[in-house]
Amino acid sequence: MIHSTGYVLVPDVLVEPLGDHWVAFSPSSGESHLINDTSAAIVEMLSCESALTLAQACTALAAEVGTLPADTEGLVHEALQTFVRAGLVRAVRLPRDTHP
Amino acid sequence: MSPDAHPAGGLHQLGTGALRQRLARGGLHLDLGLVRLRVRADEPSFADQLCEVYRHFTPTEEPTWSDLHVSLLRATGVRRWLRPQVRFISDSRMEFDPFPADHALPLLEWGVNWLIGRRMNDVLLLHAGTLERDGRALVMPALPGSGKSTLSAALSLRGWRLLSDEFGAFDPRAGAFRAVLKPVALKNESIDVIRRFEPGAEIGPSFIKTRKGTVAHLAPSFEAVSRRHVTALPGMLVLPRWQAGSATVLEPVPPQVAFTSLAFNAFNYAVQGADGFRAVMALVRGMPAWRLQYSDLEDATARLLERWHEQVPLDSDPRP
Repeated sequence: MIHSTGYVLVPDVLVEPLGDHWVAFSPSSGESHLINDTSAAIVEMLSCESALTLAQACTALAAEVGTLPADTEGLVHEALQTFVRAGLVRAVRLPRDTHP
Repeated sequence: MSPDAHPAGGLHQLGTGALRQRLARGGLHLDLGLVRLRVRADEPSFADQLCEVYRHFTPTEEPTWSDLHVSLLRATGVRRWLRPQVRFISDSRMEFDPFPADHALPLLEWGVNWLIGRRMNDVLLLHAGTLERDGRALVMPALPGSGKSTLSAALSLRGWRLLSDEFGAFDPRAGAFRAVLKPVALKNESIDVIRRFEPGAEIGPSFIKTRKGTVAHLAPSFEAVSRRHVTALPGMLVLPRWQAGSATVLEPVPPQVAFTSLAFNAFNYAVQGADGFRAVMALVRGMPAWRLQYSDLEDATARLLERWHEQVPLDSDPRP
C-alpha cells in the first residue's frame, strides 16, 4: 500500500494567547514555544482533525486566510517541521487511499 | 509567647559556645519558610559566621521533619594541618569540592541554594529576587550578574519585606509566593555599595577569594524572619539589569517577554510540566511587567516604589 505523511497534534498540547503571540506547551518535551497567529491557526486545525497531510493543511489554511493553497505550502511545511522538532506535532504514515 | 514574637532568643543571643555545641551534636534546625534545614558542623569558626547572618532566626526545637540535612565537616588526613578544608555533605554525599575551612558559611549558602533548586519541586521555583509590600510580591527574575541580589538587599533596607534574593517560590495551590528566607549574598563591589546605601545594614564577615570573588551576607531583618510564613500574592514583575553609569530606566515589557523571562529563569519549569506552564501563564496575566535598568540604587528603589503605587492594587490586606 502507498502511504503519505500526515501530521497529528501530540496529546495534551496546551496553547494559550499571550499579547500579540501565542504560547504552546509541549508535554512531551516540557518546553514552551512562542508562536505567531499563523502557527496557532495550524495547531488549531490539527486539534480539530485526527490527522492532516501537508496538502490538507495548506487547503485549510488557505481557506482561512483567503489565498491559494499553493501560496501557503512553504510556510505550512516549515511550520509543521518546526512543530515536529518542538514536540508539538508527530509525523505519521497514512494510507494513501484515505488521504489523497 | 510565640518564638517569633520577640527577637530575644535569636541565634545572636544563643551565644557561639552553645551554638557550636548544638552544631556538633544533634544539629541546628532552621526554619527558612518554604524549607526546614538541619545543619551539623564541626568547623569551629562556622558558629560565629552563622550567628552573624542568621542572627534573627530562632533555632527551632527538634522538628518532626527537615527538608534538607547538611553537614559541614572538616576534611581529614594531612589536610587538617596543611590547608584545612571543609566539606559540604548532604544525605551522605559530597556534592562539591571542599572549601577552605574558614569559608564554611559561603559553602553552606551555595550548597543549600543548590539543594533547594534541585529538590523543592512542589512549587514553581524561579531564579528571582522576591520581596513583599502591601501583601503582594515584587518578583525580579534575572541571570547572575544582573544586580538582582544587590537590588533585593537595597529594597529590603527600604521597607520591603525580603522573601528571598535567590528564589521566587510560587505555590500554585495558594496562588501566592512563599519565602525562602536566607541571608542575601552580596558580591565584590556590591558589599560596599550596600554599606554606603544603609550604614546600619547587618552585614556579616567578608570572604575573599571565593569562586565568585569577595562575598558577604546581609542578615534578613527580624521582621522578615518573623513573617517568613506569610505569603504574598503576585504583585509586579521587574526584569532588573545593573548597568554602570546608566540613568534609571523603567519601561513596560510585552507579556511574551515576561513569559519567557519567567519560564527561562525557573529552576523546575520542565519538571512542573503543564502545571508550570499554567502557573507562569497565571503570573504573566496577573502582574504588570517592567524592565529596570539602573546604576543608582536610591533612584532605582524610589522609582520602583512610585511605579508600585501606580500599578499594584492595594486590596485591604490580601494576606492573613
